[in-house]
Amino acid sequence: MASVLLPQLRTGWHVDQAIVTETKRLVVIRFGRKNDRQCMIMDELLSSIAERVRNFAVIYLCDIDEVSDFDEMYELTDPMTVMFFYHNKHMMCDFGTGNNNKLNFIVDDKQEMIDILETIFRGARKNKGLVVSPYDYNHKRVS
Amino acid sequence: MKYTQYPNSSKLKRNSDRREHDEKLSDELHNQSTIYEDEELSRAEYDSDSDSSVEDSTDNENSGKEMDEKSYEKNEDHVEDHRKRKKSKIQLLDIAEFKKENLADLDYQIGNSESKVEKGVNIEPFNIDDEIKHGVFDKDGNYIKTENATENDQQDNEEWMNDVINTEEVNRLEKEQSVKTQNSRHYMVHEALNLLKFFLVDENETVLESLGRLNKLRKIAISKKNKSLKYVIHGIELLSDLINILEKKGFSEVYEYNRLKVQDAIEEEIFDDSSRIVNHKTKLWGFKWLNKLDEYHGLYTNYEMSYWQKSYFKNSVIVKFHSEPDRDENWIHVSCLSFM
Repeated sequence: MASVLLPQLRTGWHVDQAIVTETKRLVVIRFGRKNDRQCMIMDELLSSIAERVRNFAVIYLCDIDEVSDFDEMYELTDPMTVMFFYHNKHMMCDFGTGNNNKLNFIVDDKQEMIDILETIFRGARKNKGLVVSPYDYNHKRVS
Repeated sequence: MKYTQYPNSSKLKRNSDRREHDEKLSDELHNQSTIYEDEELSRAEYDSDSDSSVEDSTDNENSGKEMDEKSYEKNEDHVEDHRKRKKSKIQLLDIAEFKKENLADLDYQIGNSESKVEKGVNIEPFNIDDEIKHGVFDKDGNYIKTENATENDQQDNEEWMNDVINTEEVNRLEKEQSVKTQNSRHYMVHEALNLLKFFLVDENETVLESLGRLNKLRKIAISKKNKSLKYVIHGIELLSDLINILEKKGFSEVYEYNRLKVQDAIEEEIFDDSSRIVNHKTKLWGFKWLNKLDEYHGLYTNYEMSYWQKSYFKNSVIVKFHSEPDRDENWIHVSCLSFM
């Protein structure tokens, strides 16, 4: 249900345009599949916070079965992946899992996700490429 | 005829022997004569000139020096021999000392290892009485535990595991933690900074000084037994939460921030004009009179609240920020804040 509330990116061109044209806010793209359990849970959370973070973040969904252009580039091998972009630049975040390029685990709390997005946005505005997450997710390491 | 030849040969031999003897004698005589000649020459020279005596003395001195040098050389030889003997002794001594040092080091190492072993290994003393209580020794000296002992061991293990693994308690703690996190305050950075600015009375007051000021207000309210005590405490709690939130988000020196630094931080962190606060236009505050807590008045601007705080409220009002939900803990006494 949440996947209907968030905008879908149907093609690779749409993904590129979403990243390039947004000049003020953080672009958050969830790569995954509609029917995947983790994606469904994460979509619910993202849709619930979209209104609260609309001033500094915009959230999109992208189905990797429909759009396979970025699978190799971003190593989209996990069932659910959230990536962050600002001014056509990929933002990295140290979650404590060893993978700084993406968020490939489920975040349970809304406020945690808001804080993560805020931290990444603040770092991006200061021209940082890597920021440290306000929460440690060492226990959610994906093997 | 033949006989006459033999005597001739013997004569020749005798003659040759005589010649040899003569030569020897002549040599000896020659030598003696040379010696005598030398003596005579020396005497003559001594008698004739005084300078020659000096020359002789110099010669004597030279000869003496030669003798001295020879004796010195001999002495040097002796000294060298003595030194060699000393060197051989020293070497021997060094060998002995070397051995002693090695042995001492070995003893020292052994001592250290023994002490380490003693420190590291804690061996329980052998106690027959305890073992007899819990078991039996057979004929060969082997120890056999009784069944009761094994059962006791199992019970001990189960108790230990039960202490470690208590799922209900773990679940309860997790629920409590989740409830706390849900009920706690959550602010964006610019929101937290805006609220923090209102707790700083003047430009020079730091956050730490503001906490001290609120503590004084709390003590005054306690002494006067005033209704405002609860709301002053709410102010202290809000300020503490703001400090914790900002520290968590990277503002490590927030206690030293004054009003100017906070304003600079707000300008740095603000990303949208809609969230900018204008003192004369933006309506932020609602208030209630302490005597009439059921009547809500709002919303008003910073300018209005500041003017009324100085003239109209007389510290009889509690205030709430517009974005805060209408709960009791979000109402703060007006004396805790400075609106402009």
